[in-house]
Amino acid sequence: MAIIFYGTALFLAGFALHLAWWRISLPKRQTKTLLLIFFAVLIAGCAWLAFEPGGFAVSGVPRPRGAWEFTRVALYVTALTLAYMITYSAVEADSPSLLIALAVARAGENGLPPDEIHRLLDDNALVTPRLADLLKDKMAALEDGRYIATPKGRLFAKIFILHRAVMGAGKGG
Amino acid sequence: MAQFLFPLIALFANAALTALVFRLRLSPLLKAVYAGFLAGFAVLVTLELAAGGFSWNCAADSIIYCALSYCHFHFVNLGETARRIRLLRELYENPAGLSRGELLSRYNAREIISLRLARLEGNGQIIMKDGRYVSGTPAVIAMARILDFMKRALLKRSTGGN
Repeated sequence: MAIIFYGTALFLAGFALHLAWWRISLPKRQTKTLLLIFFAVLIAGCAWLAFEPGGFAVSGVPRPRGAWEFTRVALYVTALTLAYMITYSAVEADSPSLLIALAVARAGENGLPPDEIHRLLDDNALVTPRLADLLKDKMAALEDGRYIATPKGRLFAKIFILHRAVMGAGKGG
Repeated sequence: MAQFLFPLIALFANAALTALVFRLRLSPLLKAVYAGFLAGFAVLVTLELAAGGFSWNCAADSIIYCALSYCHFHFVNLGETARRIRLLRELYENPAGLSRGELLSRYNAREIISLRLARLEGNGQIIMKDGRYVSGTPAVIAMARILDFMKRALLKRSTGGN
């Protein structure tokens, strides 16, 4: 009970802080800032629960005790944080599949011909923003008009290439 | 004790079975992911039972496992559909770099749209009628609306707009 209760409370505290921050101003590096917020709240919250001398407990729910219980609270909050961050990345970027589905839904019973969909979603809408993201996240660099993968970008690419090879899958995209 | 490792062991089982089912072409990717999730959950339940039965900690482990499995699903999906990963892969395969034109000759909006139209049509999410696409099953629209709501709430802009 302590793990679910205090883990959820710490996650929600991080989420509230994230909402408040975003209301004031949008950070430039949003994913990095999200990580910072959730893990700062987790560390501060666990430290407070471990060292607060007053025997704090909410509605009779005992505090986590010992290294194992705190490890489980940390794992619980980390799992929820990663799940939220992945959902957030889908919010941040416009998914082409969802853009197509929305465009088709908005067209109603008349529908949309394939050519119209290709016209609506061109390279400037689908490729250029993702290239800009690679530069912003320092996964690629622009040198003399050429995009080059940085060591961080090469590492990311390698992870996915390896995983796709294990799965026996193609290039994807 | 090291019971906190149970969701991680279950996640490993999930990822291994997903890869195996898909590699052996026993099912399409989405069904392989579902099969992996169920197998991992079975591993988790078995471990919890062997460790002494169900408790609040088992509920916590189940939530951890579900959240990590959700991350795994998205990781698999990123490799399959993410434009950023595909662009990175093209750059990785060309260490001297690529100009914008060279990149677009390898991967461009036309290919992106064609792949997704085929996937959406294959899943019944859009239907071709008299040469025009109309909406099919409502799941993808519901997902699009949820993400659009989150985008408006968090980023103060709408999907595909400002």
